[in-house]
Amino acid sequence: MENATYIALSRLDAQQRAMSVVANNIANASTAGYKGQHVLFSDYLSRQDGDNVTTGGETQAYTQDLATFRDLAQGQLQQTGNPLDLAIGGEGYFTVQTPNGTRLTRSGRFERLTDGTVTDEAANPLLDRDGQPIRLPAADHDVTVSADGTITTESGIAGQIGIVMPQDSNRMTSEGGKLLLAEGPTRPADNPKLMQGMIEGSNVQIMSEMTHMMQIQRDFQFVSQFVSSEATRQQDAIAKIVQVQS
Amino acid sequence: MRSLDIAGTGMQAQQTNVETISNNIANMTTTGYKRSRAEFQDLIYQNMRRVGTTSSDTGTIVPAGAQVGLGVKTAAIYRINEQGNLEQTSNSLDFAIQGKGYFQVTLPSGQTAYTRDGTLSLANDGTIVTADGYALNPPINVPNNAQSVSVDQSGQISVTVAGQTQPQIVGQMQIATFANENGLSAMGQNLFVQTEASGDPIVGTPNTTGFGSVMQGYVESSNVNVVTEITDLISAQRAYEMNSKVITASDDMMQTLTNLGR
Repeated sequence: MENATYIALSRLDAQQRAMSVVANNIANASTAGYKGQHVLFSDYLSRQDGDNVTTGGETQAYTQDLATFRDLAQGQLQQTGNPLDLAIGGEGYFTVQTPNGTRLTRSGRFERLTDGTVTDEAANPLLDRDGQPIRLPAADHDVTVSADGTITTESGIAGQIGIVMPQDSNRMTSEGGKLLLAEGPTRPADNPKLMQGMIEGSNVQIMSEMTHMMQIQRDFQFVSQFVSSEATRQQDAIAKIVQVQS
Repeated sequence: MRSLDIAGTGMQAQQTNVETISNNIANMTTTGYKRSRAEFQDLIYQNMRRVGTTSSDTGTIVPAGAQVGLGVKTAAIYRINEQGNLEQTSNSLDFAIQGKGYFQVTLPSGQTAYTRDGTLSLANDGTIVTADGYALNPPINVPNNAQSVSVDQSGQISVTVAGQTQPQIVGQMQIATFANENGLSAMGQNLFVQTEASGDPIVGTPNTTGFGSVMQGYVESSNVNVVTEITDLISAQRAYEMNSKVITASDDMMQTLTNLGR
């Protein structure tokens, strides 16, 4: 008899997580290179086994929290004018060297250290096509980056930025700090279309997040109302049975 | 509820964003001011279900993991060192650098500071000083009887003295560049000081390779673009409102839960 309540509760639990995901999207509305995330819920069907169940079985649908997937749409481009602000116009990710290994990112905010190493804001070196850190001659100031990632300074070509594609874009773990860990191998991106002096903003559509949030909120209220009316129904039933017996 | 805290970090971030933008707008007419931009990072993630886990004994791999991000944090506020517009003032002691480099000035403490603000004047002893009275480094002295001061693009200062037809060279300006300009620390009054991150100054003669040229009779205005700042301000304000809406909604959901228990 309590199953109805438990099914509703599984929905409440899932909606609560959906709310966290929406909140995180809205909080990151100004994070460069951030990709909005969405939840994927599925029904979880449990078969009732037992002698007294009619053939064909009865199924119960619990909400099961399956996955969060990333919306990979291009974010808005913002012009900054800094020579080391780079945006990827096509597909692909920058690769940076972190203490824990190579990580992927869409955020194109780079700086250079005093020795000329190009790094992100956490001082993780930006890697070239061969996976080696990119180092610019320290005295050079005119930095030009072409669409395919070739960096040129006063003293000539300084390297080519490696833009890679993961084997499966869905199988990437967000680690925070705009870093993504790719499961499986990566390959060079075909047409990265790098743009210099620009930054790719977050791709969060604030209006649709808002409507989504309202939907979650209403759904949550509806299901919780269901839970309390179910409780009342059970209470009434018990009261009536007791009355009949006495 | 996690969404409450998450939206809280979002509001904090947008507040920093608005503060950065308002400082840019406030310094719209500050000579040599370089606009700043707040830069954000997503916070850590909680894995509800790891990416790449199997969903059955036959090794079916779930297409995506379930992750919840825990909000946002400010990663950096960095300067955009684009050249500002050059404004003609026709004042013979107004200088602007076109291209890379900073004027060097000596602070009262003896430390060297760097600036793009070339609004200079003469101290009572003839030294060329900034609006705050700090002398250029290397110091340049203009004789009392000088009638006019002129500077060429390479920063050589010459004066014409009464009774002489030939201009007389009194000094040579030196400007400094840095491996990482963004590493300079702003100390206010249009001045910057070097840090570990900027590296040591590379001092050179203006108008040589890697150094900008000196323009006399011009000042460099700020590189703030009001239109961009205002649109950024509007979107920051919207984002702030949205985050507060999330807080209201989460609060509402918590209220619903509380009522459930009654």
